[in-house]
Amino acid sequence: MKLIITREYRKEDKEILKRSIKRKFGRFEKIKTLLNIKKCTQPTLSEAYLMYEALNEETSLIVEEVIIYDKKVFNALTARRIELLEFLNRNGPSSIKEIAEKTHRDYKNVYDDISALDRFLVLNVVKLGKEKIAIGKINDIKIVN
Amino acid sequence: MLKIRKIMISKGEIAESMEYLRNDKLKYYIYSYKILKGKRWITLIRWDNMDGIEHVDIYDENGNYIHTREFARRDFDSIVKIISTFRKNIIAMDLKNI
Repeated sequence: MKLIITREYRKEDKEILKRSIKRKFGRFEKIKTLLNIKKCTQPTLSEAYLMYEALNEETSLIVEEVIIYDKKVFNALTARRIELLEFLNRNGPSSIKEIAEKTHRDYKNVYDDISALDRFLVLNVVKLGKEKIAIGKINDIKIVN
Repeated sequence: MLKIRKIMISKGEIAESMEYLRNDKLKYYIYSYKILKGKRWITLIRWDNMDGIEHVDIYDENGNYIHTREFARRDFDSIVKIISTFRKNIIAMDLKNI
């Protein structure tokens, strides 16, 4: 039994992704230069380069499929967390603070839920400075035998 | 277009594919095996063609680069099979003979 999630990145998700990469590694040209110097010694650099390359395209398309074999993921998908996923699908990328405010929930509970879903790759969370922002729109989530 | 596939083999262990296609042709790919250490995903092994040559990079359990070896490209499904078989022992394997 496995869980399969397909996710797409909307315009606003891509904007957050780009800002997050830029903040961490600098501008695209800097990443290119660093990659030429460091080659494969820093794996996150080439991943950022690929992401940036895709984001720079005029009609950039980023699609993601996640397959989870670990059955503990089913314990992580509580009713509250599914509500959280629905909220993110409706509202677009949101920080933990924004989610807590808009859903009238305690910050720590939202933080714990986001962290649990992120650990199982159900959610994609990026760092933007001190903030953690959940991005991506789940198009499909299914259990396959 | 960027196609990302993540397969969680077991808790804290993933096989990840990033394929960048231009005009429907595969330009770059990165296939990695990552483990979760604390809150960070650490790459242990990575197959890619980022500098124009098909190769495999090996890292230690802290994500520090160890060495690079030649490796003819295989599709992601066969890489997942290799990863699922050897898991964390993969960094000690002689990959040329796999």
